[in-house]
Amino acid sequence: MTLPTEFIVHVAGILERLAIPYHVGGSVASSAHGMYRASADVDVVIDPTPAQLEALVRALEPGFYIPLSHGGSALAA
Amino acid sequence: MAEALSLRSTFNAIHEATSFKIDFFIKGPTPFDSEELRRSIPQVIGVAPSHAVLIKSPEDTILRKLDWFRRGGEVSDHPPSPAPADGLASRPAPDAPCLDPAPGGTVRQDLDRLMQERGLAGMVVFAYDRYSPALYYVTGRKIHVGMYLRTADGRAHLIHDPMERDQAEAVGCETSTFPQHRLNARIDKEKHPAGAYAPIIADACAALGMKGPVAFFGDMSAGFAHDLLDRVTTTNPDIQVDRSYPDVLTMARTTKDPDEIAAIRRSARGAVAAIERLRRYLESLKRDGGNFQNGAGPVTLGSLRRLLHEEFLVHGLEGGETIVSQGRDAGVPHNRGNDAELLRAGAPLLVDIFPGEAGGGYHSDLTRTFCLGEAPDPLKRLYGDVHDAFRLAIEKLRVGEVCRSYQERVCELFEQRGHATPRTNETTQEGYVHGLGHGVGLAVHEAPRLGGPPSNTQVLEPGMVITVEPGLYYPSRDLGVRIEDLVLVREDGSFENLTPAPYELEVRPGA
Repeated sequence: MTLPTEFIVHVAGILERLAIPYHVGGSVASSAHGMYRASADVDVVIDPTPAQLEALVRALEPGFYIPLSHGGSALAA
Repeated sequence: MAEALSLRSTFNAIHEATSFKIDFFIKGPTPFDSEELRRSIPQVIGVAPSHAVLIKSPEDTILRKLDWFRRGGEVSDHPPSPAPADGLASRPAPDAPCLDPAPGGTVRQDLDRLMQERGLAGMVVFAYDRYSPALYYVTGRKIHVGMYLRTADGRAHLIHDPMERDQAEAVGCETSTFPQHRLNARIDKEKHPAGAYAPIIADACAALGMKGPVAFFGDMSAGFAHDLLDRVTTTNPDIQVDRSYPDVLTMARTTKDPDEIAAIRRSARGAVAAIERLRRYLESLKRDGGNFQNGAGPVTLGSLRRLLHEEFLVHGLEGGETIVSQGRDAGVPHNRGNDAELLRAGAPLLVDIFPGEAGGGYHSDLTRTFCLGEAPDPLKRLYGDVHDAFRLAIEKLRVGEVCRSYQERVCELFEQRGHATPRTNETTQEGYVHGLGHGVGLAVHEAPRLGGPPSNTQVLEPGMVITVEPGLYYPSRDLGVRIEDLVLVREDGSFENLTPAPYELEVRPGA
């Protein structure tokens, strides 16, 4: 994966597999609707249960670094 | 993470190899938050033609922006978006199945159509640390280190140097940077830049779904390009190098879009201003025996060249290798002239200027032949023949006519007047020794050709910008004459002379 849209598709695939409600917003949505905005980041709104969130993190971890400043321990607990 | 969930806040995931970051926002608690998620629409984006992802709806995208605007005290640090300019800044139709709003209007549509007609999977344009007319053409931006990939169905991706991120953003397609593709690590590993760039190209082609012939363009040494393409096709066997001739870019560049014509028109205005300034300057000189004085000293051909280039600068243009040649040198069509030579009375002074936008861009092309003082009869006769040929060609220009037919007409006229032509003697160096004209654009010489072999069956089409430039050359007799104008074929089929400067041969200094 090297292109931004590849990441988006990859993450969307994970979210769909885990049945987590989501949508992509931010500059990607603006661009998709015809008003191009460049951005290095992608914004994704999700609505997971705690178990789904845990599964998401595990699915992303190969290849992705997830800073757990808010609660790696809480997740582990 | 659980805290993020309970606080309905945010966390992010950073791709370790490329630093690409995804910000996750936990859905808020309001009914609007829930409705917004429910209203998401599936949409195909960018490189994944087969996979639609859920995107926030256009209405919610706007509502959310307004909500942030209100929460921010109704102060925005973003200026209003400018209206798209003609041509290079236009946007695709809203239903275009891609994240990439193609930056170009007709230019890119031409390219996509041509790629589809040729059965190409796509194209790759690679600028390797220098200005590349090809990359400028496809992106509309001067990007010196960049790799632009475009599929035949119009999906595009630009890989660029972070130092040129502003130009890259202005292209308006999906982008990534070379560091995101770990370029330096690849160079270290491969010990050769071609070995580092090749897998990036191969992977990006695969990511864009290209399978089949791909047209490659770039500005680099032939050996590097050969090595690069060899490695690309070895790494990604799904693609082959398109070898068709003429290539799609040459074909696309044969006709110009309105913004390109506007740029050529600006260059042509500068060329006309320079040639008119030169004529006024020549008229202001004082005769000094067989030569001329300007008040400060004798006038050389070099001083005339400098004056022309000063005028180019005023118009934001660069001169290139302007031809200011005299006498015998004027009899060899592309002899640039000797700057140290003194300007002479009674000799042909051939001035061929082709300034283009400074820093690379669109060119013009204009030639006039002068004679200071009274022209000798042989020069007058030669000039008359060339002017007749020029008028014959200009007056007969018609859309749909074969470009080469005008060369035939001019050859016929010159032959009737007793001059050798490429038809009567292909190796002649005296008489009429070249083709009648060529296209002008990002290159001074580009398609179409008004000459060449009979296999050149290209016809005149609206959008072409061509030169018409008959000449006669007799270096053994110190004679050479050429008249050249730049002509636009308008959309309605009419023709416009972009370089309307006077044609008088004789200039009377001190008159």
